[in-house]
Amino acid sequence: MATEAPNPALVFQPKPSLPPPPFTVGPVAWVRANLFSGPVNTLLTLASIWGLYLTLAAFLEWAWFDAVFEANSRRECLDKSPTGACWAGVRANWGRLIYGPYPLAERWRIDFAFLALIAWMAPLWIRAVTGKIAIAATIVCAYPFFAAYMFLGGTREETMTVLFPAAVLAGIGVLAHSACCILAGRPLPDVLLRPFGEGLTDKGRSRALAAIAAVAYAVVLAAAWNFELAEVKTDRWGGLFLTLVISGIGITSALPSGILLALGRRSTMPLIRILCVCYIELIRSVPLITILFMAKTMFPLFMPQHIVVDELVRAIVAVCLFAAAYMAEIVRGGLQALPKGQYEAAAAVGLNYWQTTLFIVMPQALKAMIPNIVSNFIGLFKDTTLVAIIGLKDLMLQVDSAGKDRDWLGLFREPYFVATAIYFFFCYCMSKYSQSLERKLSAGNRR
Amino acid sequence: MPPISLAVDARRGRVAEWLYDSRFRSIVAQAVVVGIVAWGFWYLASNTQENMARRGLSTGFDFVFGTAGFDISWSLFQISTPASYIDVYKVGIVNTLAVSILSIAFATVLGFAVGMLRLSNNWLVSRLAGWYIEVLRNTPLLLQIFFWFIGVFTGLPPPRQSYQPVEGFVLNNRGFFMPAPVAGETLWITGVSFLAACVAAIVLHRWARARQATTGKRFPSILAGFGIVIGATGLAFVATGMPLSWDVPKLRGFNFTGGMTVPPAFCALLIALSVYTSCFIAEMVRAGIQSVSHGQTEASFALGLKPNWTTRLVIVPQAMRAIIPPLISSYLNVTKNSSLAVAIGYPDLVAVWMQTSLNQSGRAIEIVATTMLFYMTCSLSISMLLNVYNRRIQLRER
Amino acid sequence: MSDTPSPSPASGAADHIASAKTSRVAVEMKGVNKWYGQFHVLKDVDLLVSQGERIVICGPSGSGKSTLIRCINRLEEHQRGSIVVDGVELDRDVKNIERVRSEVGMVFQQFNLFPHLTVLENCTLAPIWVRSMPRREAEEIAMEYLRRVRIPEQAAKYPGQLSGGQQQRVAIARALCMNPKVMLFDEPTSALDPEMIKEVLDTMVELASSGMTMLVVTHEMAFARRVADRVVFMDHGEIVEQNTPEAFFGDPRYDRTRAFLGQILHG
Repeated sequence: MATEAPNPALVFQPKPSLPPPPFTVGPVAWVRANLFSGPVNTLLTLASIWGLYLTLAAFLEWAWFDAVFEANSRRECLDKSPTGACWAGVRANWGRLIYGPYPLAERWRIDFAFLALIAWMAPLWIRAVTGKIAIAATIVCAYPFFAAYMFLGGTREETMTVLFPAAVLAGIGVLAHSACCILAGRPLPDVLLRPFGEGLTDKGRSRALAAIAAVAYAVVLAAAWNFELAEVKTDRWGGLFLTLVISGIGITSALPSGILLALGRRSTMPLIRILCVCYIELIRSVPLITILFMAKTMFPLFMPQHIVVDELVRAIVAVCLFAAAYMAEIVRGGLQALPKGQYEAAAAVGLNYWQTTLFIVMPQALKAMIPNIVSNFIGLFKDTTLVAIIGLKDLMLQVDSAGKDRDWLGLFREPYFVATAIYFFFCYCMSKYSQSLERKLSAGNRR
Repeated sequence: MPPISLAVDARRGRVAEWLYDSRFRSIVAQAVVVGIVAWGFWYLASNTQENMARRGLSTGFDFVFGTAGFDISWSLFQISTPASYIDVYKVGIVNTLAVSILSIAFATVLGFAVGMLRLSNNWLVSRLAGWYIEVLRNTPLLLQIFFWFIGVFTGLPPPRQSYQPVEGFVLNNRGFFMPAPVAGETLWITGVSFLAACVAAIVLHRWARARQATTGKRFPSILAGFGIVIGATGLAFVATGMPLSWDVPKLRGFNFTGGMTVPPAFCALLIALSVYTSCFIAEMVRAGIQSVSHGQTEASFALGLKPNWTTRLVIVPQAMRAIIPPLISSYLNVTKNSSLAVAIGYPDLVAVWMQTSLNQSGRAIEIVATTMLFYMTCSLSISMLLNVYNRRIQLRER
Repeated sequence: MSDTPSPSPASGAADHIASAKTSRVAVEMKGVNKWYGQFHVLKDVDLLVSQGERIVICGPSGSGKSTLIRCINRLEEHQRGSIVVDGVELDRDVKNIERVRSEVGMVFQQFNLFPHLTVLENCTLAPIWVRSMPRREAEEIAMEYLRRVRIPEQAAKYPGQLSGGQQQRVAIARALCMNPKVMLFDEPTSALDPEMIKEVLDTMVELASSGMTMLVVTHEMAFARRVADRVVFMDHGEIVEQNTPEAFFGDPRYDRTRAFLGQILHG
């Protein structure tokens, strides 16, 4: 048809695009459309600006213009400025908010352990570094022993004697590996085995690596033999540090136990399913505080007489039991969202149940659920404030104790404000991170 | 089990058949798991028994009728003094439910309002609502409760310098005081006319629908119904000489007496729970409304439906389906979160039962079990409600 | 017809056909311009549609054809020029917009049925609320149209229970229940499986034979050839050419049109 057209074709010249009429785009149009699009909107805008101005002005006056930054007691603060904030009090109590009653001379250990954690975790976000799953595994399996000794100190018993150097070695290994990946562009084993040349078989490689690891372990063990830190009992733990310890342990333990519970809940074996459903539903239906109270009052009854369970451990166990049930429901959501075709495809290539779960189902389900897992962590982080009710000296309770200090009697607002800001900072960053992950994941799925 | 190995060795084959039989495996796995769990329970139970025997503790529910050696600071209804443990349990439940139900009501209203503001096409208003949500949901509830309790309600002036915006409504550091209604003799007439007006309003609504079906004329039956109820009730009330008087709180000595009082802890908890929950509800409302695709609005406009009808007939019914399930679960969360009352001394179930009563009586197992029983009952009834709702929706979808 | 970019004998023929049918104007667009932000989507578009006329609008994606018909019931607001539908000018007057919308039916690519209402309720919603029609009468009319699109037995079901083709036929019936003067179709078959396209097209052919004024954005060229009085080809936000189907397919005037037809018919 078109090819048989007898007439020569006219050439279509599109008209030039013109700029839109004035004031339909640009800042003026934006302001008109978004702030003053009608009488009601104009009124709302003006009212909001007025309210915002009043709040901000009052806040700035309190927090900045009338505030006292240098003082030695609350009395002095009030003398200098009765209406302003007494930030001097926060400064004086800062250590208390962060570390609680942890001995002053030993606080570097907490800083060091947290910096080590950051350094240990950082490679997970660096693209050049390979073997991220192995690194994550060392964080979950090795770091706790390192941190536990750093925080607790004291004489190492048999297991700790063996495990603490192992954890240190794992940390050094991760750092060395990351450095190799970033600087040399090849993983640590390759760099280590370079002197042996290319001629090594796979078996030879693993033997050589094992030998190197054994030697390194012996070195670390010997080096750490006389290394001993002063003992700090858990009743001296507190502040933001304690909050992070409890929520950190809670979330790391929740993931594996939550996965098992979720698998159990979806299992075809009726008894296992019933057990898992009962556990999950029981825990999810009661408030965390009742579980904490239960741990506090019932634990001594449950345990044989000779085992005395530390208050902190009781709280952590309660938090872990609680977090596992919630995590199980999140994982279950991820499992349900997985298309049935994935199970069928895995069965079709001959994978058994555990292989399917490990290699096909879990990676996908967990990846899809990362945003929910992060928001669950936010919830848990907020919920750890409840341990203050059963008497653990977490950040929440430190605010209270700051105001009971002799010099700072009655100081409440300022440390309270700072604690709120700390919680908000952590939660807000995590929620923004989970939102950006969500966006990234959904973009990945769309493609 | 492939048949080949059967042919090769019948004896080995039978064992292998057992080992690889999925049913056998499943039974063994279940037996192992149940065995471990049972052993765990047995271990804990035997330890408990031993410990209790050593400490000379007894078990059983006989203690509930005994006298609880403490007073409850506040309760909605009068209890006999000295109170028995069962009274304490009842008061705890009623106090928990009271603060929960009121919080749910306030949080719903506030949450819907904030959600609407969040959706406003006014950029500034939407941003402010967004920050309200962001700040509230990223700080712990316990911190917020302390803020309201210590920062606001206990920081109020003493009774002599109370805030009293309207005569009879008093706010000071002892709590919130308001007039209590005292019914007169002929108040029942007003009640009866209220019921009658309700019936009339329903009849009117039915009639309006029937007329619409036959003639197409619409009648604002809902507005008219409210008018009838309010008008008739008010008229009866005035005609019978307003048989209702108010017991107004009065300053006597160092405090107000008379009227109704709620303690500062109740006010703080109520406001904290309502405000905290409202930000989650606002997010649900926003997500629910945004889940209705723009095509629905366009289709409705294309049919000539006005914007307010579009909202009422097309958007809201669809958005509610996305909003109601999480809304119901958030109500359960309010009930659970109300247990934080224990931190500021409001006598809820956890505070009076799991803390004070447990310390007094030492009956840990019974008290923990009954506390959990209450929360599980709440949870089960809420999930039943949710299931009923979901089933109704599912019926329509598929 | 003065709305072609350049004078052509073929468009004169279309003009003749259109005016021979009826002289009353259904839709008149004059110098319509529209911008999305800085993007100029419609450039000085002129289009005159007489009553009873059936127009197929085609063109590559992004050429502004959907925007054009969405301007007719003001789902999109134009910034310059005038649009008059059935004697009512579309301006900022809300009453005018409501009047036009109740006289113009629209069928969407994604059906946009109301999932919370039954098929019958979908059809009766607008007549009851906009036309203040008694429910029983609205239901009778709705059943009549559902019979015409051949799915009366699905009246009590919810849209989610129907196939795509059935849903689209319900959407057509829903629009017809308002007894519109003009029907707009925005790529009604693009979201359908091949075997369902036919049932929807058959319904549209039937509707065309009843004398309805129709503006159809579609790539179904067989439909255009069979039903259209005039085919309008758009590109870059303007009407490149318009003609009777015979002339349009037999002797396209522009290189752009030939390339497009070559792709869509042989590609």
